[in-house]
Amino acid sequence: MLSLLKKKNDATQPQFAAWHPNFRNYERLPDVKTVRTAFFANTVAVAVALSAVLWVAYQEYTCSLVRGDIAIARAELSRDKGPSDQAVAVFKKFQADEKKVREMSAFVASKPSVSAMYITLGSTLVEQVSLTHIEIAPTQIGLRGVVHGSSDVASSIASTYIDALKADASISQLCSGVTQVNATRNPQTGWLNIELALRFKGGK
Amino acid sequence: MAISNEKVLEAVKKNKVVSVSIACVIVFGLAAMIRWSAVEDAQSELDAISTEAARYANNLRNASQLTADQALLAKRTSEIEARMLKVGALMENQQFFFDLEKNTGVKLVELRPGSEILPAARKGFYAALPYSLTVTGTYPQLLTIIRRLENGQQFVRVLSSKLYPAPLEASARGDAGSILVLTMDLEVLARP
Repeated sequence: MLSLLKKKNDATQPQFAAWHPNFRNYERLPDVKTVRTAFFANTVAVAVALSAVLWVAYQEYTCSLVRGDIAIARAELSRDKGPSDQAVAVFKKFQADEKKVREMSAFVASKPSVSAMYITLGSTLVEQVSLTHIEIAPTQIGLRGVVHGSSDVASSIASTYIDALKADASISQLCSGVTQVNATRNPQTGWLNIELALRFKGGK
Repeated sequence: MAISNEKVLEAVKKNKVVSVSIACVIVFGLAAMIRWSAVEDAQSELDAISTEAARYANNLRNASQLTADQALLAKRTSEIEARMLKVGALMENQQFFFDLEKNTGVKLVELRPGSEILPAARKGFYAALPYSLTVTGTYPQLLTIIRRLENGQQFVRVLSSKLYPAPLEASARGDAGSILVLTMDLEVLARP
């Protein structure tokens, strides 16, 4: 830094061989520069120092703004905390009551409606078929019935009834299929005794 | 090539502005470095408080109807619980089925209570009371009693059921061939 402030006398001396003796004494000659180097050095130094001061001032200003925001946020926090805690307590009570309602609802919905099943089974009956035993078990519906008809048409009537069961939307929604378990002819009446099983989907 | 103190002092005296500026830069630079963490700390504190304040404000906004809803729900729940069967109240609980018999016209042949499933075993608030029920009646009567069980004031689920014609002696009392027997295994939700 100090070397910058020194007068650079060597630079002013000619770089080529003098063709006549040079009697100028550079040390004693006056400085003819309009603006001195020291001025630029001072300006740069002051600018850098001012930058540092401004940076610190800006930092402090930002800090004070943030502290102001913190004070506002704290005030909001203390204002809302009480009512919020109350709301949370009420919500916990609500959740407890909601669980009770859900439990009731899930209890009833856990099994298919038996009345609806009986109505469906009644509505799917075809002519000349009567049911003698309906058993709704946890995994399947068992049907026992009689096909009233001559031996030559009884089998086709039974097949028609099975098709009607399979075609029913609510049965196909609940059950995975209709299985014929047994079919025996009653030698006294000549009617066909049938036994069917409708297995619930997922073993409901 | 050490610089002596005298030379430094001389240079400082000669270049006062530059020296003061350098001192300022050093002092304020150090101050900026020290205070930098203070600004960051304040900012993170503001973020934390703002997040919490936003959570509280959100709670209050969402809870605008909550008190009224909770009061209504609690009222409805207590109304439902009041009409539920009660664990241990054997006679009162059986009265529910006797009332059904009376109102639907079926004949209650057998009512056998099972061992109760307590709330702890069900992992819930309520117990389940199992019953085996056998009734006789016409098909419409039996359908009515099933509907009243499933859609009535109690929470009932039918686990299994059998429907078949009544033996001849039972049928002889009513319309021949029209009397059916319905047996059901069911569970009724009950308050502990």
